[in-house]
Amino acid sequence: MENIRSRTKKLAILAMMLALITVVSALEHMLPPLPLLPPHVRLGLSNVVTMYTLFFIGRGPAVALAFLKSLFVFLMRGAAAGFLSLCGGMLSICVIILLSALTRNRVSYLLLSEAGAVTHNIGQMLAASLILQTDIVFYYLPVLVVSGILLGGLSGTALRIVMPVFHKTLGRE
Amino acid sequence: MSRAFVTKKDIAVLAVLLIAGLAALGVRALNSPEAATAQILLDGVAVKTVRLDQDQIFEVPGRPQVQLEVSEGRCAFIRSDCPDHICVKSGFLGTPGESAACLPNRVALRILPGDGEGGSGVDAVAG
Repeated sequence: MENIRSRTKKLAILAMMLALITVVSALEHMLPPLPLLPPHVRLGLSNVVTMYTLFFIGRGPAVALAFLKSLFVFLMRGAAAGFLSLCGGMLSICVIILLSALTRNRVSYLLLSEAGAVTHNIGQMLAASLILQTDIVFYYLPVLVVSGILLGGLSGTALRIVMPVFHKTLGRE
Repeated sequence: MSRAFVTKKDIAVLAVLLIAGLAALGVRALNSPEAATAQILLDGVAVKTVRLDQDQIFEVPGRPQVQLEVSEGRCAFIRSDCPDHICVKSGFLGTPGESAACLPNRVALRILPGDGEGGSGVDAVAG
């Protein structure tokens, strides 16, 4: 597939992605907490936008998107939530980039999505333990890994579904 | 960059991880002791311990805007000035090891087992 070369077009697309991710993030947060899970765990659909940006627009833009999303969370919900989003988001995207690079692009989208989701949860957990100055939150590690796998599968599937739609809208083949 | 969406290898890896994770949770659920007390931490320091056999409502020492309730052997955050109220949404906790927290206020709640010695969430810490 050809890369999107025009810088202006890239900037406009990135802006649209940011708008999209903030709306998805806001909507997700309005949903009630999922049963059996710690209440801060969300569906992870905003990762669909981040992953699409990473795979089809560029690494820099994707990292910037993740950072800006955390900034949005900080503005809307305060420093604690923003810090959690930052830690989770940055760890998640770094792991996806690393995994993708180290395995020479042979890893499937689903596995990358799962890895991203699990590490996002772990990043948030680390951030929470930092704020609280205690390690009691690690009790939830198994729950977060399992839910990361399941919800990572959900967002990976969502990525698969929206991919052709995004391609078409953005003018790619 | 064209790659597969999912391969058989992926399903196998994920299935193994999922089963391992669920098994860990199952074993933990079967082995959990009776809950006896709730511990409140502020900035990582235990500031209050309450028995769960007495219904009560109390504020966190040092954070009077954060209120907790003990009811029917379980404890929960019931009021806080934080923007998200994730603490309150955590509901009532009754199993040892469970915890909830109000991050903006840096308050954590954890349930300790009957012998009173909670231990930490990890088995060992190096260094």
